[in-house]
Amino acid sequence: MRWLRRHYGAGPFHLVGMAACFLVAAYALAKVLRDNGWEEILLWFAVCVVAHDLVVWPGYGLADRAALRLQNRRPGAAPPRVPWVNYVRVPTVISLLLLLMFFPLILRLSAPTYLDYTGFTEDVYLWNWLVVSGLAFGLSGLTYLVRWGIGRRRGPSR
Amino acid sequence: MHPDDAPRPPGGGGTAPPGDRRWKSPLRGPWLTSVFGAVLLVGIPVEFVTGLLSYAAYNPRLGNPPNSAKGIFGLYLFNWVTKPSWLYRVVEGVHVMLGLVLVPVVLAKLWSVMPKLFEWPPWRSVAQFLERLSLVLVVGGIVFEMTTGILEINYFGQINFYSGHFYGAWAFFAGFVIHVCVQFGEMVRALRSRPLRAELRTGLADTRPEPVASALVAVDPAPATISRRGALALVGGTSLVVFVLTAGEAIGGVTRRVALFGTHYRSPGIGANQFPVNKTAASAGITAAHTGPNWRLLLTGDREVSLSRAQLLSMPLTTADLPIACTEGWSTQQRWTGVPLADLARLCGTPQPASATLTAVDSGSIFLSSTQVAAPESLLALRVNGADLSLDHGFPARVIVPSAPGTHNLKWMTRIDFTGDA
Repeated sequence: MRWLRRHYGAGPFHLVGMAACFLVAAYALAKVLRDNGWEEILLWFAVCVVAHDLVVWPGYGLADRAALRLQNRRPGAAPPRVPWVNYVRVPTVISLLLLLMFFPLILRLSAPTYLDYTGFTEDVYLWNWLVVSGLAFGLSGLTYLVRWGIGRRRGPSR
Repeated sequence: MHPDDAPRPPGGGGTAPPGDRRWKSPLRGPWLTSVFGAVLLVGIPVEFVTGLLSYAAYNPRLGNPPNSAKGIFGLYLFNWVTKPSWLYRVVEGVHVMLGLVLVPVVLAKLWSVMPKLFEWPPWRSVAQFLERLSLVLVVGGIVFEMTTGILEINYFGQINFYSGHFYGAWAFFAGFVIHVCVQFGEMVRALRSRPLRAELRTGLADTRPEPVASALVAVDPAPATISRRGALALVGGTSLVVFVLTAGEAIGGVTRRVALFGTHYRSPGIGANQFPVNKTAASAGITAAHTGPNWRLLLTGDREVSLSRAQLLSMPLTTADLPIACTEGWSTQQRWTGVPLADLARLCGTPQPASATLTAVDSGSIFLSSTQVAAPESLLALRVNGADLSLDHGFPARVIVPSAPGTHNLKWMTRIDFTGDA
């Protein structure tokens, strides 16, 4: 047991659990590969990893830093009385997440199948997305204005 | 004293590895990660179970598609039930809608643990190496399940969905169980370290990094620009928006009209036939020639019987409120009138068939179990909401089986073969 701890780094249950986990996963992979080519599955994983780790995650990180820099433009100067960055973050997150989840509908990528399955064209989703995004940005802007107005009437706080 | 006011040990804490100074967010830490983790700990098992039930609902053992070689993953399969009639509708509605609602939580969880991905050295023991390898299953698995599922409901599937999503779920869940076993204690500890109620009362001005030694906590944090409660509200609010904009196509009624990103939030047809369609008559190549006065329904069993629509209408009819529920998650309940399948089985001398094979004009074909044929509400529907079926909804006759997946409710029926003795 002590040997296992020293050379493996955890107890026997850990080892058994890991073995069972990889056994199930390997079996599932073998099953998937019967119905799909391994290139397809590999490509799918590669696209997901690249999309998240190299596009989505750095993308929103950089955009967020840029927005923060814009808000605190002059180094040393006082930040705006009511910081606005969260009033941009919230509608942006909502809008981009909807685009990420429903891009086949919004960009009409599945138009022929969609028509066959529903009896409607896919044209409406671009407008739905624009309207929802517009509403999100509009409501957020309105909330900001209200906060800003309240802050002004109360005079300089802190 | 607020827990955050405790002085932070220099260099990110005594036992913590020398951290990467590029991580700036003061929000990252075991508590925040554990909150997202706790939500997923409830949500993912629900997804797994509803997914398995949804697969069982196809009765794949009868030979229904998706009919891949299931192996030991098919051992749990059972004869799918017909009562309550809303079971499949709820199971699949929860599976799809909860899956969509969890997307923001999963992305937030990934964001919160990103520093771990770049941890160095990557492992310090074989055990830790295996743990990290199992994380490939967890992260890769959840992303694979989400992308295959979402693209499928958007009619943009790229690989064999049923096989990929089903086996992918097993591989993912294996990793998930191990991940929970390894991290559960840590999660409970982290959740206890900061009472949720206190955190929800903490505004931006008092938001500090978590005062614990952890690879998740930034060594050189920037000032907070959003509070923890703000971040939670952002994630939860986004999930709520997704819910409002999709769930209506499973809930129905007026909520359907606001499901602006559901595929079936609009209803074609007029009058009694105005409700969502799955596959139009035009797309299936159904014309008046197939469904005109010459249409007959052929029944085979001990003997063959051929019936016109008028003959079917003259039989004792049953009316039942039954849902059509699609694998894509949308559903709609309507009032159907037609001849019970059990009566048709009796008519051709097979009162208790072991199974029935349904065939449609467009040569679609489905196997029903003896339970499904015997259910008093399993109908060969001729009318809906008091009017004749429209062509898009399966005129001259369609099958509707309580609690069966929508694709089993075959439209434009032409033949039923009752086989064997139950």
